[in-house]
Amino acid sequence: MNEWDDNQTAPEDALSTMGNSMAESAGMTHARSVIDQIGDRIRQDVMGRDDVIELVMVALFAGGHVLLEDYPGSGKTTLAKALGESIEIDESRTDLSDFRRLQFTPDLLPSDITGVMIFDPKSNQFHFRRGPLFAHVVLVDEINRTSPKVQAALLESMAEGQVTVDNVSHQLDELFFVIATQNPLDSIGTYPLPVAQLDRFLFKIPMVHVSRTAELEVLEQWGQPRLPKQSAKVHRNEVVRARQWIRTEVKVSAGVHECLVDTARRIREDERVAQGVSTRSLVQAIPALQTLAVIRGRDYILPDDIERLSGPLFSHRMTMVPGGGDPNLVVKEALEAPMDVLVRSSLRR
Amino acid sequence: MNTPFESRLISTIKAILLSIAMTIALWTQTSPTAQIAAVALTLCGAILGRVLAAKELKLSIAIGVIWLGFLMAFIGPEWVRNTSALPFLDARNTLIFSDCVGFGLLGLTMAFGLRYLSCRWRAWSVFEAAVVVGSVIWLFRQHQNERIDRPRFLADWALMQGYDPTSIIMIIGAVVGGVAMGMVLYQQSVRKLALSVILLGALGYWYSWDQQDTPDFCEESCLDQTRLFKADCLASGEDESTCERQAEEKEDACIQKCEDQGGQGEDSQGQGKEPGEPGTPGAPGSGGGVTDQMMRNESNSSTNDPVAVAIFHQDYEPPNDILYFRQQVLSLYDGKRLSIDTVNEFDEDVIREFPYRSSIQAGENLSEDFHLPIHTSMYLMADHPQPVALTSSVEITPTKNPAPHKFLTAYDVVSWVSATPIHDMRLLGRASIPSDWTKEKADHYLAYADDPRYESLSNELVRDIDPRYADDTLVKALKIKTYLEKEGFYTRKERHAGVDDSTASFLFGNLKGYCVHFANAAAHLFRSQGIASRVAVGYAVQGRLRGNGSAVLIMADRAHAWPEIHIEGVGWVPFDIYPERSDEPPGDIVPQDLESLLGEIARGDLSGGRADEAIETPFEMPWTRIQTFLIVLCILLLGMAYFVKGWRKVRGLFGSHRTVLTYVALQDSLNGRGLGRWYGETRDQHALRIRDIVPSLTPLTEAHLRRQIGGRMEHDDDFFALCTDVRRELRTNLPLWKTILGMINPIGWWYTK
Repeated sequence: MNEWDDNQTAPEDALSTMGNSMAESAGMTHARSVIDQIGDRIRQDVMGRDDVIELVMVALFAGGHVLLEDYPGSGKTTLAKALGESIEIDESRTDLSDFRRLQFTPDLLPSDITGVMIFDPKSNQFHFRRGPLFAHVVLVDEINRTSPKVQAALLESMAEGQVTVDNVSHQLDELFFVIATQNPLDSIGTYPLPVAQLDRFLFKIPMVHVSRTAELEVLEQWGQPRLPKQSAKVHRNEVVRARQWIRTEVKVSAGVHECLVDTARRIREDERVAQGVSTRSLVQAIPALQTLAVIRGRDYILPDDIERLSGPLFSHRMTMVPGGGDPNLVVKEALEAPMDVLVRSSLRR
Repeated sequence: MNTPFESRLISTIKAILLSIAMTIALWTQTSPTAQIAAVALTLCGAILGRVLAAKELKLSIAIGVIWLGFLMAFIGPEWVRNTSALPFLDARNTLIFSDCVGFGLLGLTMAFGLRYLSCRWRAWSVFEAAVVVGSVIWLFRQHQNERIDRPRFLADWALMQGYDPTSIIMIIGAVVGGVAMGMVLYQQSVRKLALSVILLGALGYWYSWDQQDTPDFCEESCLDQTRLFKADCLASGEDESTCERQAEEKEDACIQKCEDQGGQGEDSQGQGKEPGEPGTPGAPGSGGGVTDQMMRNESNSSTNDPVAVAIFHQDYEPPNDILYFRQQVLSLYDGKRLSIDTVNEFDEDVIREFPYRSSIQAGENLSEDFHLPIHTSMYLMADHPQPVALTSSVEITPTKNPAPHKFLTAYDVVSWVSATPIHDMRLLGRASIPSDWTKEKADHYLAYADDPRYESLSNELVRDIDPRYADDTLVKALKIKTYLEKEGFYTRKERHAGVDDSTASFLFGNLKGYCVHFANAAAHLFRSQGIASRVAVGYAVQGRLRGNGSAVLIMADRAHAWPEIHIEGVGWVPFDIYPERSDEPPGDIVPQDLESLLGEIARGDLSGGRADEAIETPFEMPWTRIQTFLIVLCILLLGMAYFVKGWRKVRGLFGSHRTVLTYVALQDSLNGRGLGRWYGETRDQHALRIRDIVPSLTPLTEAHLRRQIGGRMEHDDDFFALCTDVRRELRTNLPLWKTILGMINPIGWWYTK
């Protein structure tokens, strides 16, 4: 508890580390070490993006995918690449790679990303040649620049964890994580993703420009030889094991369920919202909240976790009426009352 | 549904607009002081509404506050006017203060309610606009019915500037209409549009509503009279249907008369009316006369109106069968005539002011040997500059007015009336000027016109007095009185107008005149003989002309002036002159039914003695009971609050769930000291916010959540050690006044959530 007696500790840090001192189980220790290891490696390459890295880690361990909405040259590829390089692939799976990058263009075809059946004259048979989706981490750049059929193929793989070619489904690896990007301003000649497809992403993360200090740090390190990573790579199996532990062991109280459902209902009833959030979003929210609780050193979910994730979880799944304003504001307002009920519930005997 | 919060600029503009609306609405309604108070509180209410809406004040609490505010705005002014808790305020300032309270609370509550609701629900901004538009309409609806001079302040200004007031008012109307239309067009949803149109329609209807449709005072009076007539009719044994028909005819005729007079313009209302005919056909029995008389009294302005009712609480028969009700005295000789002494105030035995909250006592003590204390209650029905009371009043106390629609004011009087006739032998041998009077005072009551004829006449009158009583005050006064009674001629036709000294004109002329001339002449002659005297003005009611009850009805034609002389050891004695010759017919017999009716009303029987007849009792607020109830309620609530506070503090010491209950008790303490959790804040955020003051709260909250949500079973000792730390930090890190405030705060626990 000593760290709490130190008044110099920043509140945010204090909040995120609250509970560190409690006795941790072995599973908890393992999960946290895996998360920290990957996080440290990414932070070494991506500066000033701790909040984004935290959400990306939550999505990775919650089994979701993220959509980054940012300006060109803001570090999206670096982040995805650093993430891919942090995960050590299974040696037995030579058909998989740790990281793939796809640049979506209007003339792209679904088979370009899923793979294609190729005729082998020797065996006189068709063989499936795996596409770039068969990787642990896939960076999809400018997802809104390709045609809907390619988008649909990608989204099927994200939702089902498989690709289908010539009526034959091919399973992707259990650790399949997509980081898609799109430019929020340059929308000419694009195919905007409908809400139904946005719903497949766990988070839509609007990345803002990094701070002045972080930008200076980036310039200082430019041209210098890259230091070896302080943390070792994490084996794919470790990530999967940590995921499973998080899903089964982190406690989710009935109050959290009620808070999520009530928030969703309030969002749907808001007159500024034309289409509210889906039930799927609530289902996806549970592992995300569990992961954030572990990142913050707890094996139970607090209202603070819901407050932190509600915006990235829900705001991109809503359709606003014309003039309806900022969806984040609607989410924030809708969350207040249910969260207060959840907070008050802790005083009940 | 919650709406995005409006900007500070918009909130400020709206608060100012509401304040302006209040200014406009109160422009012609109250004093500038009350206007300023109301506008300031409106501004405060608007700011408060916005701030509390931002802090997510619960709707139920807000509505409770709004209701309470309106209730207080309703009963507050009445309480201020009726309470005796503000003795340092005089009547005028009390009225101003009550207006400040009433309109101030109204503005505060209205602005708070509108701002709070419109910040939480955007649709309520329609009502804000409606209030602003309505306030303008409120001011300008006086303009209806082609009254181009209303409101006068604007019409006067326009006429002085050479503009046509109609054009100005049309422009203002167009602007208001434009604002209202803009308000409607601005709405985007059908629901709000419909709401706006309905509101606009309601405002338009209100503006165009003809005020003349409401029954005016005259018509209300007709209904009142008809009701009384019907009661009389039924009491006389007539058939109910006959009475009903006659009452309807009477009511129609009366209302028709009101309408005829109303058509002549409101300023001419009440003038030129014909008195009702006594003995209206179909009004049998003695009661018919009462009704007709009342109609006549209420519907005309003749000199025979009832002006007051006196209720005697003791039996009293005046020595000369005349009851003198004095209002003023004229004692100051101003060079031409006797007038009211407004400078030196020598007439300290006369009560000059109406009692307001406490009793007023006269400044002179009277001898019990010659006076009898009589308690009466006076109910005035006409305006009087000074209180009318049975002479000589020594104490006047305000009393409850049982029928404000009948009586203008009511007060109890203690009078020391003369118990001896003026020819009582005990009055002999006494001087007029007491030895303790100052020279100024003696001169005041002896001053008269610089005309030697007064003294020579009075000397001639007292010349033949028995030498034994040659210098006796009473004997000399009686001589003068006898002279005037024998030689004088009472007539109203001789007014002695247009002369400098009307008293001399009367006394040294034909000795024809009325009571004022006789009283002044007697006072001058008394003064010329060194007898202190003055003229009393009021009403003289003859016993033979009135009924037998304890109520005495004073009619306007009983107005009278009479001289009073001062006799040492006795005081001021009415010394009225009764001329033996007169051309006046005997006075009208006082209508006994009317006297008894008004007497019953004055005694509190609002049916006027007709208990069986349902006459609507006007509702009166039981202020004393409400005051007591509110005080008891406050004490009970306070006691309950402290009980709950104490119980929540100690319940963690025993039983199960000790940790949770102890944590709750700590949260109570934090709330009591203003360190509670805000709405929308999580427990961790709350602990972090105040960790500079209570650093141990953060690990305590963590431990609490770990137990409550994480389901961990840990040692209680660590938890309670942290609780002790929190208590210690609260004691040491907070200023003493906050700690004391937290201890006496009875409702800190209410906010623990």
